[in-house]
Amino acid sequence: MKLPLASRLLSPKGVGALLLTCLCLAPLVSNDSYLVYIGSLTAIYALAAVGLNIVHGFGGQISLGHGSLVAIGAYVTAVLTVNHGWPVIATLVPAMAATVVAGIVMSLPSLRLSRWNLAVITMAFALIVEGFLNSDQGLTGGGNGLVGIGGLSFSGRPLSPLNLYGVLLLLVLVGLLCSWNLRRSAQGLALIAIRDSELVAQSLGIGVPRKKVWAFAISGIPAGLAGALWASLGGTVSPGQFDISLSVLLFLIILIGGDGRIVGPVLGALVMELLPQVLTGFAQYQLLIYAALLLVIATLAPEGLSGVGESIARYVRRLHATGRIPGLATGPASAAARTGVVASAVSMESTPGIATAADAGLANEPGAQPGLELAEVYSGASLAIEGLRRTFGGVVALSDVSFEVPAGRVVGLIGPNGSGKTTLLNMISGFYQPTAGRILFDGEVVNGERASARARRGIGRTFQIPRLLDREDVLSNVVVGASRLRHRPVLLWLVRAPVVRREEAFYRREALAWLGRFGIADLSDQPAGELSHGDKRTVEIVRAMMSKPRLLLLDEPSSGLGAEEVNKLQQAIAAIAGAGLTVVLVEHHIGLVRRVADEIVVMDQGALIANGPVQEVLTDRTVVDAYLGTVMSRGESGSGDGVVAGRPPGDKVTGPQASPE
Amino acid sequence: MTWSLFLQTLIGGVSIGCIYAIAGISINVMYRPGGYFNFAQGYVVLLGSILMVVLSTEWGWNWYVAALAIMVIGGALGGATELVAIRPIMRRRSSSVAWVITTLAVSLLLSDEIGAHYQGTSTTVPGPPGLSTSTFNLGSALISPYDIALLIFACLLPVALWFLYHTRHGLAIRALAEDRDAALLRGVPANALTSLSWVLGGALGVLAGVLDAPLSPPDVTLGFTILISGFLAVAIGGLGDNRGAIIGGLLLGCVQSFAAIEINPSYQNVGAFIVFLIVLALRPRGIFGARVLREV
Repeated sequence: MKLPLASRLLSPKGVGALLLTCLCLAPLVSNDSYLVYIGSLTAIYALAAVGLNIVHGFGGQISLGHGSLVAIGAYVTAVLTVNHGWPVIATLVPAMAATVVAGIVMSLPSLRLSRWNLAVITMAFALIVEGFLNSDQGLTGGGNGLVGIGGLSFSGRPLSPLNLYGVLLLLVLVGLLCSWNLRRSAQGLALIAIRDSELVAQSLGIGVPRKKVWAFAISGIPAGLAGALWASLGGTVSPGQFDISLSVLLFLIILIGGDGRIVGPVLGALVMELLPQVLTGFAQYQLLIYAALLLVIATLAPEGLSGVGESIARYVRRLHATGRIPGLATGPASAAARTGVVASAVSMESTPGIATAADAGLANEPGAQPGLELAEVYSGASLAIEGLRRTFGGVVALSDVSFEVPAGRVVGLIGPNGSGKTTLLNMISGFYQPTAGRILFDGEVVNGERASARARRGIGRTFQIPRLLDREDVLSNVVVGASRLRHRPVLLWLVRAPVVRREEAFYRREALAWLGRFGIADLSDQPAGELSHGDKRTVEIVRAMMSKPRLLLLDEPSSGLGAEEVNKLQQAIAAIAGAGLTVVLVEHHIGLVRRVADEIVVMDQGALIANGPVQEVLTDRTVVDAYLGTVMSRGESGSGDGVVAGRPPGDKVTGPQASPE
Repeated sequence: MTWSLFLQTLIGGVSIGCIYAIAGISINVMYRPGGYFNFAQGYVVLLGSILMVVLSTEWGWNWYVAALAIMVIGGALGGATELVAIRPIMRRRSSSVAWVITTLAVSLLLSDEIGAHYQGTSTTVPGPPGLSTSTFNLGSALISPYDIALLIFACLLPVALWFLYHTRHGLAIRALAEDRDAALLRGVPANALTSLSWVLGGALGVLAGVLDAPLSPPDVTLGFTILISGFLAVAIGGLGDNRGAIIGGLLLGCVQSFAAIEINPSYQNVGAFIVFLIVLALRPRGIFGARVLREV
């Protein structure tokens, strides 16, 4: 929704941006040399923090050693200028290259370690860099550091401090733009997915280790630049500048400013740099007040200062919005919009307007055109389980299970709680490895492959308890599903190249079309965390569909849904099956299974006890005994619609021992 | 390296390792109920050392009385930190990491107060009565009764805590650590137990400092280094496991001590870091860290 410029400027965000701009321009106007120096230092902190914001704010990886990257950048510049006589400007690229490498080294422990172990190890990394700089190896000048670095000059013309401040402001602006572009891109969404749930990221085929290394590496660029310019600004470097408190300061900057928010680093740097300046008047109580203020800010604004701005903005928007019709601009893709897409593949072009027979009852999709059939986009793949076994310690969770699912078939996997259904699902999707036996997907053995590799083969899944990126809107939660299909060079993401935009627009339309097909297009701009349980489930299924799976694993999709929602779910599964996907449905709702499944596999105590066509299995004596039971009042065999099975015998549904037969 | 130098280095490493271990245990105790660390713990340890110097050397208090008084202060400090820096945040938004900021702010406050009132000293505190720090010959190396007592005490601490964690309240704390929501549903008083843990953690933190005072004079610049050593000990041993903290602390102390003698004192941390990397490469959750089965 586009508002007129005037009212956009008067919104809290606009006012904030205006104030921020004035604050940044103050040193330029005043031309006070001390002010310019403080401004430059603030900009340097902000620049380094922009990188850390990508690592922690987006990717959720803690780095308490980011100051060491700044130190490395500064020392590369210092050593090259002082010891080798390079001009400062020529050292910028080597400085950035060195910090990128250091960032990669620092990221390696994150591949195996939990959050807090990573925090410790990055802190230790910073201590080691500091120790190295302090030691006398004849390169860095030991504890005294290096002197005489010289200022930055462009083609022989030295920059005045004021000019340097201007350059720094520009760099911060570019950094913010790049991180904003990244935040909106598939790459940024993939990082958010890693931050919020690595399991989800893996299930969508996102290469988690690679993305982590990548985030640390990219964060090295602004850090290196900040270090190099810091060295040039002061003319000297010494280890004391870059001790552990710098790393801590950078971390505080992004937390105070707003973790994961675009302007967070700038706000944080301003507060952390200006507070001590303001407090100099209080002399001996300076640090005391400073610490107390930190406490107050963190307590009142646990999401950081930009979070405060946002909640004010939300409040104002709510005031504005009273009386306005909700659900603007969330309609599904229209044919007119579609013509603008230059899609390279048929599969891309086709999806927005797909209509199948099963669609009709699902949702009214005003703009939908009878386009290509879903079946031309999606195709199923076969699954074969051979002698699968899994033990946890002494407990046999699954023993010698074998069955086959031909391509395009819907199989219901039923059985009492604890019978091993979810364990089996986890082994198919790669979250557990089998103790023995084989899993064949599309005729190929996939044992030993990671979950993300299997997702890239086309195994999609949902979770028993919906796992969404709670702070993101529904649309992003759906678009993230397509992550595995979207690979572009990093640079294109950062500058948001036209090809990236087109792709972005394409996937957003496809996501909207899917949401429309499931009747929840009007929710697309809601934060996922605020959805109802049923809607969360739907969003998860839609997300899985976005990854173009060939086999979809649904883990108890009907649990917690009302009767009406179960009906919708049934139609959704029918639509998915109609598209030709292979579906494995773990479910307790026998009515649902009976209506959508072609075949049923029944498990009990880790073993397969029946397998075959629906009616045959549901009337099978062993199955009735082990799981279904009989309804006492009617005396029917089998289970009627809506009877939630899986209860122990004797609870509503009587077991065979109490059967009146 | 001669045999006697080896033994001497080992003894030195074990002694400082005991301090790391106790600092690590104090971090564990605070971590247990809620999953938060106290980033001020380095300065808490330092505060223990400094108060010991003041009370015992300058004011001439009895060693044990001084130690007890300092532990009371440390406990109060720990409880206050929880009350001021943790609870208000968790009440607003439990997933926030703002506690990192607030405990760091506490750390700043402590370092500021310590820096303002303490000028530094070059002398160590004498050992407690009956446990002299003067050394005697053990084979070819020098060892003091204090060194021996310190090691025994450090090793007994996890045992004592084990019993504590098997009382009714200790069980409730473990329940909180395992499944917070389930424990809350069972009526476990989370706030009270968290406070209790932070009081205990604060007392143990200053105790590490108190016990370090006879070994080396407190150095106000070392707050963060102590914090990281405690963290490393815990990470090597496995977060939350007190036996692990002892093993991790001793390993860390010895590696640092040998790296300082054999290579160069400024490479102490590099050695510690490498050991840490090796341990975590083999066991990502530390030596005694429980393998968590993936929850899907």
